Amino acid sequence: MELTLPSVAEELLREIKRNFQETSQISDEHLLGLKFIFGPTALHALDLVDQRSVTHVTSPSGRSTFQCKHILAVYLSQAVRCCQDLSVSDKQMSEILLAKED
Amino acid sequence: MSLTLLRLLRELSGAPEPGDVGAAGCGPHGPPALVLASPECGISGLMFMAAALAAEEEGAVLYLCPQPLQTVPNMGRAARDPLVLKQIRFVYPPSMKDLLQFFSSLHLMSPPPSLIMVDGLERYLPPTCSLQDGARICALMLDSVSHLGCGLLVSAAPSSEGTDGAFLAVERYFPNQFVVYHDLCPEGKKQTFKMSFMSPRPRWNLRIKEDGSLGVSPCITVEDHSPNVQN
Repeated sequence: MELTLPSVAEELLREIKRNFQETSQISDEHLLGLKFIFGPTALHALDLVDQRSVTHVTSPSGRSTFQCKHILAVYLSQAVRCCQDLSVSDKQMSEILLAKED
Repeated sequence: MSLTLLRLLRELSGAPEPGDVGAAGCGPHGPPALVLASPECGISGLMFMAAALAAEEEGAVLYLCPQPLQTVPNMGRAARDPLVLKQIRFVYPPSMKDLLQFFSSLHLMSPPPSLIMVDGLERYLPPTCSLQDGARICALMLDSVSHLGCGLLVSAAPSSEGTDGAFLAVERYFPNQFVVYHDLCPEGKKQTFKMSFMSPRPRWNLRIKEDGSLGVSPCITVEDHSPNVQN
């Protein structure tokens, strides 16, 4: 039972990604699904994605991370391929991972 | 990492252990695992033996703890073949800050280890640590081993006073747990413990002998002898 909600959310994100690749938009049905599962959090996440507030950081080692405190926004940005890409050195990646959010 | 523990317990107990811990498809070591055990049960000894087994079977192992081990068990594969020890690299980050720094720089390490072990995580989580501190180190450890594609085994004493907040996060990040606890009905004066993955029935006995060595044996219950019991 514990795994039911993550599974539903993952499937919904997969559907959004598939649909977005074909239509370049998130359908009303999927928006309702996001609201049903995540509540008001979904709206905040969509706002962040709209504003391109999610940054995907990669380094030559292949290690990558996302800069955005909102984890749903990170997942949505991947689904709709709407995030900023930033390449940094491996040492800078260490500093980013080590940096503590205040 | 569950699979390495299972292999170790099979080897030490000399008995096959039926079943698994849902570790299929997670590499040779299985999924990351958390060993919950009080320090007096000799868990560092078991961790060291697991490191030796993994080093012999899979290659380089990173063994992290705040201080050097005072004693190592005089048994298992390390005792049979001292060359195995050369595959184990001991690292002693003295503080949480150093531990975080270590994991945040793991992508700089080449070649990567096959397994990372953190012995005594509770010693990095003083009473001032918050839920966020526990979550941060766990997320960083799991992210690091995911990037390297290696195994992770963490041991910790769960009841350290004042670390409840941080520890709640630790337990949440590691759903795959192996628990060692005092045997309530010990025979004789030996120090005895029960060990199992998260399951209502203990699977192994752990005994600390008078010379300090560890003895492991499978738990035999009434049900094991009953011909009518079906799994």
